[in-house]
Amino acid sequence: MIHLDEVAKSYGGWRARAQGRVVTALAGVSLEVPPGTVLGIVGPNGAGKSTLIRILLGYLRPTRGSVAVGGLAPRAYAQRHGVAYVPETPAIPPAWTVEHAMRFYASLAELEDPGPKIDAALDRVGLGDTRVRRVGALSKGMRQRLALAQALLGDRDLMVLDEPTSGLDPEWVAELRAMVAEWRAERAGRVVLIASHDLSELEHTADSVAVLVGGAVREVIDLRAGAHAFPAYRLELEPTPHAADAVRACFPGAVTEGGAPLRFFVEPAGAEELTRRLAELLGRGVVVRAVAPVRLTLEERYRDTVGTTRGQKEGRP
Amino acid sequence: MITLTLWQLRWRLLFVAVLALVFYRLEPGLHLHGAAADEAPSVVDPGGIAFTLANLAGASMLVLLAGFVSSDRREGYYRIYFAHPTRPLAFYATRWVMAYVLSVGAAAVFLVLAQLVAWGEFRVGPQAMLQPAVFALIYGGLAAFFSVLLPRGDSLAAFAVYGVTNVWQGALAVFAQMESQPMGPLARQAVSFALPPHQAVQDLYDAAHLGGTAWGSLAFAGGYGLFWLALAGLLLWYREWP
Repeated sequence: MIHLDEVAKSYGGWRARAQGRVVTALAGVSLEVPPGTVLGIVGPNGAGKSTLIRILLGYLRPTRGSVAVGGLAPRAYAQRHGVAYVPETPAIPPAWTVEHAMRFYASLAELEDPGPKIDAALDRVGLGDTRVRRVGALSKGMRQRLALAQALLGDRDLMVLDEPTSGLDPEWVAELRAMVAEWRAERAGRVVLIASHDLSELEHTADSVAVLVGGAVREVIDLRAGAHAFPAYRLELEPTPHAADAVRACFPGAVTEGGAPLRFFVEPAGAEELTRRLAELLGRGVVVRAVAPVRLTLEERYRDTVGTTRGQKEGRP
Repeated sequence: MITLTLWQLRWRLLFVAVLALVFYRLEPGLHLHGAAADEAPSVVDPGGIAFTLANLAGASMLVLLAGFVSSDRREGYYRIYFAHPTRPLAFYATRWVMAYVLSVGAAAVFLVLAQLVAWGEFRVGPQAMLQPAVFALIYGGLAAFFSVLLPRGDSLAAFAVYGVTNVWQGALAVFAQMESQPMGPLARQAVSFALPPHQAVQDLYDAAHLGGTAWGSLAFAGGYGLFWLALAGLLLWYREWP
């Protein structure tokens, strides 16, 4: 669905180039987003997330590299098929009413008989009662929901959400999650891109997450693969003599957690091995206080990825 | 789309109506009464009203087009517009054509109503609409170009060009009377060529007054407006969105 090959983007005209003031926002992004994927895009400020999204919508042209969306250049794709897009800060003329804004966007989307679709979209985002209110009088969260409503108008295959939860209260964050899931489930092959700083939200919503650092994709974290892998375990013991030695004997790769002498991380290959080794451990007279699975959260994995480069590569090179 | 855009332009259209009232007050030919009014056909020729109509149409274009591209770019409204299956060039071309039709339409309505109110009869025919049609094209083209180029102040820039052109023409007339020219003929022609062709519009009037049509002047004046319009389109197509 989306193919990016060594996409780079620099800002600055010929004068900036002559004066060496060119700013590199993307330094060679390669990414493949297959149909049916929800991809999160995360990264520190200045990592190039917004630039990447604007390139995908065809608002910016890459300085080098190639981009294809549905086999077309991004602008050609948007002009032909449209994109369900919610910008980071939805800019809608403040003098318009909610109803007028929706009618105008529906006319741009070239919808036939837009009335029922407008009603459905406004009701879905809880703005059915605010049709006559001016956009300028809406709260930030309501404007965000209005932007979401217009994105739901057309029958699209690509949804792009730029910081969609900013301004939304927890109730609507959960609703947004449900809406994205519904939208995705309506037709196979639909693709959702979500640029967000809300890692816990992405963990619930996305299938994979691309970590952008310094204008390049540092890592693509496959969240679905993580769910199926057998996890590591945290083992906590009662302070009995030789307990630590017994753990090391039964779990050869065990490491202590944060220097605590009786808490270990162990990584058995599967449930059977875990059971067998635990039995062996108990047989040595060790008293086990707790055994708990350990899965790295997206935030921890993100910190691992970004932390190794923070201070060296964060931001623009 | 057209109905919705008209609704968005409703306050600007009201402003154009106010402008029309101002132009009605300013046009001396429309305030000849009594014996003078009987002689109006000879006193007020078609061209006399045509220049007021031209100014109204040009001003109307500046009002209706103010910020039509620049504010979308500056405020970021385009981000949602063009995520829908919409071509920016077609979107803004539609708005420009609407502004043009409304501006020339406003001049036509003014032509009819002003005569009925002033004289109770029609003394000037549709030939007076040529100047406003050309003037709206000239200043509509300039406003479009500035709107794509500048982040704000597009119509003010076009209005400034109108002012500079009038000052320049006035200066040329004064120097001609003094039989001295501060600039060489080539430089004079270059400046006159770059500024909006008010003289060509004047030539159109003179030819109409003599019962003919100045095709060369018409082509030059129309071409001038179309040049800036085409340049605006090219720039819009080429420029990235912020």
